[in-house]
Amino acid sequence: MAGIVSTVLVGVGCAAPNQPDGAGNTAHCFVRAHSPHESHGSPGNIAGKIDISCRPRIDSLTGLAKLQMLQSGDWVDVAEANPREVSNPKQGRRYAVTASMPCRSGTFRTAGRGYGYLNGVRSASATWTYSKPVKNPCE
Amino acid sequence: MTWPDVVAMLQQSAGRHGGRAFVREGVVVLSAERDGTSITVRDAGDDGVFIDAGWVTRLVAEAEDNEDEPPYCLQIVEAIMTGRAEESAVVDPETGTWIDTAITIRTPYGTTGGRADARPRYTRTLPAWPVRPS
Repeated sequence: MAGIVSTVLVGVGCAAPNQPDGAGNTAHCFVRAHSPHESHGSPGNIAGKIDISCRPRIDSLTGLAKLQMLQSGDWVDVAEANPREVSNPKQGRRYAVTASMPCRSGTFRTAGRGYGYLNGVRSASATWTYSKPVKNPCE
Repeated sequence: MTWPDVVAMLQQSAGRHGGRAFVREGVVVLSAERDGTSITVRDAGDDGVFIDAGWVTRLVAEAEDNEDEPPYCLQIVEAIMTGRAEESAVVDPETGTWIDTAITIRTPYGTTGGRADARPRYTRTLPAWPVRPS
């Protein structure tokens, strides 16, 4: 059930303080925001999926996903997934989080954010990553 | 996993937890035998499955086969079956009005929902499925 329509990738560094990089104390997490699309299995829903993966090792990660709709020139949140926290995630494995809502007309994008903890320290960056916008994803 | 694989996996899980699975095209309803509690799982294609339980528990979960842990969708379903899912009505502290909902589902591999939030709430645990006498 793997499929990617369009993604935007962002790297998030995560390092314990006072620890030199390159000494096995730095992990990097990547968030991909997939373009909103109509769910193929259950038509009638827009799905916006993100995935997050980290290397080489991290203690835990959290992924957040939401769908945004363009309204009067501004992006407005219209659906939000429950945050997913994974303990001891496997390095390199992609963990998905999907926001969904009933189909409606308009221009949508997926917003994703993720962060991790390494040695008790939260990743420094947790900015939102956005997919390409899609007009009327259910048509 | 394909949808038929997911269906077979859910049927086995329901049996292990003393319940039954009712299958029709694209939908599986998992039901505890004695108290009518149910979990509805719908095919979501490449995104995995939609899971629907309780009053407000709705989420999409991936259905990827992993070597070292069950597919995420099965983790969620079995957490609900075993009483490790909570749903909350979040209320306005001034008026007591219901303003939001929240869920917390704990699996052996992590937590879904459960965002740290100081707003007052009423929480109930989705009842664990009754264990069938052996």
